Amino acid sequence: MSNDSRPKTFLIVLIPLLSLIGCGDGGERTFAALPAFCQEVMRDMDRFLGSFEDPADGRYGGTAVVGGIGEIPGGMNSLVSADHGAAQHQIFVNQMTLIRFDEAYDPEPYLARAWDVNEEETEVTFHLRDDVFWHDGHKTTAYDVEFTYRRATDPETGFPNAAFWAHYVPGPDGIEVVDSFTVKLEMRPHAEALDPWRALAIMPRHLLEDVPPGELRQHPFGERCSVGNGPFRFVEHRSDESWAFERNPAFPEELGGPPFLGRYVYRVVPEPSTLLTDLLTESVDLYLQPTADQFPRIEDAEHLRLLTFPFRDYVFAAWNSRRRQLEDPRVRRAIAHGVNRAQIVEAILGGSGSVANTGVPPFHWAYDEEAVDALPYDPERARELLEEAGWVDRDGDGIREDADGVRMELSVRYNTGNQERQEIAEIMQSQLRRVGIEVRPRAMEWATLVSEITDAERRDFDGFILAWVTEFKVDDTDLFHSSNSSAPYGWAGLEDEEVDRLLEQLQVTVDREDALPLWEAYQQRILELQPFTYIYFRERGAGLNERLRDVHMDARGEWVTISQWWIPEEERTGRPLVARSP
Amino acid sequence: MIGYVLRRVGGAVPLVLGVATIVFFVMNLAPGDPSSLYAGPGVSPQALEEVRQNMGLDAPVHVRYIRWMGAMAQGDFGHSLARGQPVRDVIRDLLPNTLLLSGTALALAFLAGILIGVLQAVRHNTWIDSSLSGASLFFYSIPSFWLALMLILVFSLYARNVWGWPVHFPASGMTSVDHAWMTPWEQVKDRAMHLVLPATSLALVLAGGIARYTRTSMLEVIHQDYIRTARAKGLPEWRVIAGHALRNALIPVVTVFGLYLPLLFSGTVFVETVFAWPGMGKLVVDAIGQRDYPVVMAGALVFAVMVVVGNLIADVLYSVVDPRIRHG
Amino acid sequence: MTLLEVQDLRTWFAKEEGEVRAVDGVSFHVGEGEAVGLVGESGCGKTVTALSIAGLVPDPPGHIHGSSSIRLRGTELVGLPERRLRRFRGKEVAMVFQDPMSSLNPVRTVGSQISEVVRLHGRLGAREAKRRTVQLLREVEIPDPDTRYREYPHQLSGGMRQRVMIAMALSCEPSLLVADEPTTALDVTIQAQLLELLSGLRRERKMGLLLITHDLAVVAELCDRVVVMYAGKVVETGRVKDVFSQPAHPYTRGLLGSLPRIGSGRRRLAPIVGGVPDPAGWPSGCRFHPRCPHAWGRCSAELPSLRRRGGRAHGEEWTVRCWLEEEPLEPTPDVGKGP
Repeated sequence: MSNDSRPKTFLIVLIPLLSLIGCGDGGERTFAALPAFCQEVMRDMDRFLGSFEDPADGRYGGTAVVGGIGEIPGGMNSLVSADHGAAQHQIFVNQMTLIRFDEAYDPEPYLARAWDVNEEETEVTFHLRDDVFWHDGHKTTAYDVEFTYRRATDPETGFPNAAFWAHYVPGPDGIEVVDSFTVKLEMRPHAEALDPWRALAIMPRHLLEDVPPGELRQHPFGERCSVGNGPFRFVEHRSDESWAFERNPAFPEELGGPPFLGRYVYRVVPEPSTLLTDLLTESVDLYLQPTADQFPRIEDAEHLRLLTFPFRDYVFAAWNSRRRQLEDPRVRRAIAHGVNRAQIVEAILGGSGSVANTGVPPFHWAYDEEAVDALPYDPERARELLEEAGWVDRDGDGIREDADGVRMELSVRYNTGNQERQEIAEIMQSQLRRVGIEVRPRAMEWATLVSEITDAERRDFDGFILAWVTEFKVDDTDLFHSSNSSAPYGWAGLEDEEVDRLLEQLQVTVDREDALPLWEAYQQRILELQPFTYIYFRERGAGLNERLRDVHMDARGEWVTISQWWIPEEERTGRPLVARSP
Repeated sequence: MIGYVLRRVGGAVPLVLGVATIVFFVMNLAPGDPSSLYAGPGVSPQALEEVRQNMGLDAPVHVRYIRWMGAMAQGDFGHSLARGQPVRDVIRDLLPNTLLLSGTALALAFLAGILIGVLQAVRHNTWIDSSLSGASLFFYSIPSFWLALMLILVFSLYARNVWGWPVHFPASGMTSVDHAWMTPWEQVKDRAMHLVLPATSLALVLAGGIARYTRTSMLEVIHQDYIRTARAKGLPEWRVIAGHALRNALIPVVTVFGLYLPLLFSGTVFVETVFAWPGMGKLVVDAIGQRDYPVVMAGALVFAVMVVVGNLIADVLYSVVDPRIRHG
Repeated sequence: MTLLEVQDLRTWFAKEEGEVRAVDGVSFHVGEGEAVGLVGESGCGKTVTALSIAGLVPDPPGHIHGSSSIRLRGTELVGLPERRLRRFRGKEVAMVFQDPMSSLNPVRTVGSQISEVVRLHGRLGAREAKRRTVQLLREVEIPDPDTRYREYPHQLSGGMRQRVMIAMALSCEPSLLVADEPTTALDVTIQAQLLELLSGLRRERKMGLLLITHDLAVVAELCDRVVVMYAGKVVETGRVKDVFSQPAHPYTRGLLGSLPRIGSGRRRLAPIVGGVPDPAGWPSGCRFHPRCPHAWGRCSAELPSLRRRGGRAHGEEWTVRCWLEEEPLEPTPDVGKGP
């Protein structure tokens, strides 16, 4: 061939193909791409954990792959991450909390083998286990707890869950290390005083002490080389792709010993349809939070099981009571009566959820059973309430006006691309029209929406639809206390003395018996005032490949039992994991 | 040639800076503040201000612009607000993935598009020509998002679970979970298998357009005198087409290369999302939603540079296929 | 044996406006080593005839009628499968086209375009082919052939390019060279050089030449015999010296009359009246009759056949298609005189 163009053409085609080879890992663990800090700690972890024998029992081994649509923002750094998935990885997978909840949501020992609270409920002392190692071989001690507490209460850190410390004394004054395994904290009496210690993973002081608090957010620890003390050690994080963890063979026997799984991989698959395909084709073992319309596909598949469990997130429509149309609680109650929320649960969730009436989740001990039927779908009642409040259709166009001729017209916002909220807005639009309220749904880009509703100066909205995850310690102070009416989350602008009183009292009522009547009164009051129209508590779902055994999920989270997950030897796929040489 | 390339690169610098400036101000003037996105409820105003300071958001826009330009000049892209990591690290992780995907897609698109276009021109006005034209138009006009989902449905889900084909492709990701335990050869195969569906769905959209260009150009070329000369030599038809017509027909097609790069990069946003391919497209779109300014800025710069480089490559290719330019 | 025997060649094109009979029953022959000129105005079917011989008529829309015959040293080329036909192209029948600017591939080197043929038909290796190509470039008198080998067509002048075309055509020592207006696009001095080269090479190699041209002076200089075509048909054939000295067909006379001749200042330039007819609908009867100064009733009604000029000394090789030959009226010596 005398055609001199051919070799060049081939070259152009070959370049991308060659890069397939170029990227191969070669099986060897190299940390060259990692920051210097990480290279060192990764080697330390390999060295320390490599010195332990892996359990020989046949239940041990195998890789479980969990797929979710989002990254784990903030990663394993509990001091800066605000994400729920991140928090779960910290507290159940990679790191440890002082205490954890049992299946009845009562606290039980974890990193702390015991704790005592003084008579006045102003001091809590944690007695730590002395057999817990960080994955790099250092012991976990009371100094780590102190370090974590100090950083979490330092405003420079920008700890996202500042509400945790509402009844603690921030800074070095609030905490005292009694000895290496004993730590004492000062606090104000509260019904859920210990809740932060269930939610906050302890961080290793020996690695992060020298990092200025303001730079913790940017430190590679959380995203690139987390050193934890939990049942799984960090192995690798590929941005937007996956997180890999492996069994911590040094996990204390008394806490159940090393987990059964040899390796646990979290994969990011942003598109739900793709993730469902991955589940159906057995590329992932567990699909977290499938959309409600995917439930039947999962139930029908032979090798799959659908797990559903009640959870703590609810969807609500918040109303801006500063607006003329919304200032009367009767109008807001009329909205609740005018929207068939039970039907919405059916239509949007396929029944996997329950109508919400307040922010207290149904499984919670403080949940008021009587609230269930307080605001049924009753358009007639809605019309009555509106008439009483002076909203009458004066010009015969089907929409009510008040005496001054202000139209009962509400613009309801939701974030663009959120199908669920869009559908809710549209259902509200069609149902509320029948009682004479005009709803105009309006989609907005997420960041713009957030800034419009949280900017206290502007508050440029009538209403919006949002979801909220509540902690076990339910506390609506941020949302409804009158002192927060112009703080970022004082969306509704509620100013009610009784609500204020109840919220304040609930903060300091330690005994559940005593708190219950307060909780009931609070829920009744919210039902009356209706700062939000609570739509529903969603059940969370998960699609599970049945080869992955003993997966249990509840309101504590999806990963709560990950140490017990196991895969029978004959059902393991992929290449057997050969131990890496340290 | 080298002087020419240097001149082109020099000329592109103001362009890239302009893009960066526009993106900077558009991003910073858009409503929404990252600090409120990353702080939870109950954050005191002081704490929020600390976060804003940590993120460098407390200064007025023009000061931030100057600071950012200065840092950029020193090669410092800053830290991602959402990820905490240096933007440089994030891009170093994700850019090769996008290059692999879009490079393969581009190669596939040109290979397929040119083959189809040539076939159409050679079988001009036959049923082959018209059915391929129809197919090109179809792939050109359907949304790439939908196409990607269909590919997954057919070649991933149905191929494996319903029809039991011996070969089916992974629906997502770049490698298998046990990739690190594979032999080097298996690793290459594993990567290639993961690349097939995303690259195909990206390529199909482009291939349609390239086929149409090639067909038109080819039809013009095969009526040229030198093609008759080639036939008069007694060359078999395929050698007439491949050795004489094709390279001439490619000259106008090469210009399409530069034109298609922006199209290609916008396509990666969807394809990366659908196929869970960790790349720049999804990174930047996510970052816009999160008001992660440093990532958006760096991403915009990277894409601008890639488009400029792509056009340079197009120019170099142009002179490779057309000696009249090389010597002219 | 005759080198090329064309019998009743009909090459028709299916066009939107109907069937175009570009070549409509043409017969002639070229003997071994003989040079034959094919002349006529543009649009008369000369080029299509040449392409038909080389089997290069694009089909569709073109089509050579099944009853036609083109024999090369006795082998029938019409209806021969493409694969077998290719063995003749370039090897037995070589072509040189009119426009050297567009006839060479602009994106490939001169050398590669020539050596391609050498390798294809000569089955030579790459190095051998290159050596042969350089030698061919030298034979067509291209200076510095080693450098030229690596150059692209746009780097050569028009004359050089045509020399390259000739080198390409000669590369496999064909027995017949079909040259379609090889010098028309070049300027006069270059024309002369090339014609000299062509005629020299032809004589050396004892190669048959079918020279297609509208330039009668070239024919007079290079050719042994001439075939005159008009509107898809042969109107006169014969030895150059016979035809040129005593043109029998009014058209031939017209052609010769329109030829400027040095030293014959006495004669006016006498172009033929009217334009070339539209191939989509040839005139009835004798196709020349609308332009013929001697046309009479029969001319527009019936097509005359190609008739040997019997009884004359020049014998079998001189044929004419004209009713005047059938029933000659008074000789009209002054055909050139226009209105």
